[in-house]
Amino acid sequence: MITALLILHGLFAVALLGGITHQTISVFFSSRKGSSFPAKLTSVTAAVYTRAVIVLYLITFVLGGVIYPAYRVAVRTWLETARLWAFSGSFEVKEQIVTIGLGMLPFYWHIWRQPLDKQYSTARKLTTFMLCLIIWSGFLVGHVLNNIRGLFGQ
Amino acid sequence: MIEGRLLSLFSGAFALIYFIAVEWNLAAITYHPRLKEWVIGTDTPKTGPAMYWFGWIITAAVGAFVVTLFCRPMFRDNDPPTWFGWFVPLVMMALFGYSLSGFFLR
Repeated sequence: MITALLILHGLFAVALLGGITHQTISVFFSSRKGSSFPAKLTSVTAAVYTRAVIVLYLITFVLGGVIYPAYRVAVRTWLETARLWAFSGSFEVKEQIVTIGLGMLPFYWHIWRQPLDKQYSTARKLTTFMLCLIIWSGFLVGHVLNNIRGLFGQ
Repeated sequence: MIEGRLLSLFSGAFALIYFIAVEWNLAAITYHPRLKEWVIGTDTPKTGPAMYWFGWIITAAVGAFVVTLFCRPMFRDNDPPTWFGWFVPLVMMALFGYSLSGFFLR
């Protein structure tokens, strides 16, 4: 059951990564004309990703919370026995920054409400970029820890 | 309940209170994963580790809600600065990085 939830957690995280990355790219790069990949990538309407990002963040976060006790009992204990402090610490950092990201979601939702308010344009860029970094770092740390015994189990 | 324009205040307060809750271990609830037992408040470990993360989130969410409601009259005629919503969380993330740096320096 935990393995199934872990895979589900990872799949939702991948969808979330896609949404926030597209939104961040379209916020920072002005849209180009043409049918090339960069043109299509930068010409998406950034605001339409907001609800999807919030819903996916919440689902991924809740699933992470459900599987966290199994990590705490089985994986972290093993990490400490193996003296892999940096990896144990990486999870601690992930835990704290994704929670701060959770607290930023109401503000993120407000500044992306349509019609977009010009006074929030800087906050929109910075908040979206920060959430993008939070989600990417959380994903990478989770992915490495998921494979930790294969990588460092010998 | 909370107007949208006050949400920068909520997000900033959430990050700040969450940092305080973690550093001073002010968890609203504690979970004992080996016993599968929930306890209200900050409890000491029993059999196996105690998990405070769920409690810290509740402390931060309730605290931020109360702070936002409390500060509401101060921002009746003007909006709170938007940087509350991103700069305060950014600073708290940096502080977490510093407070957890011991894991990477062993």
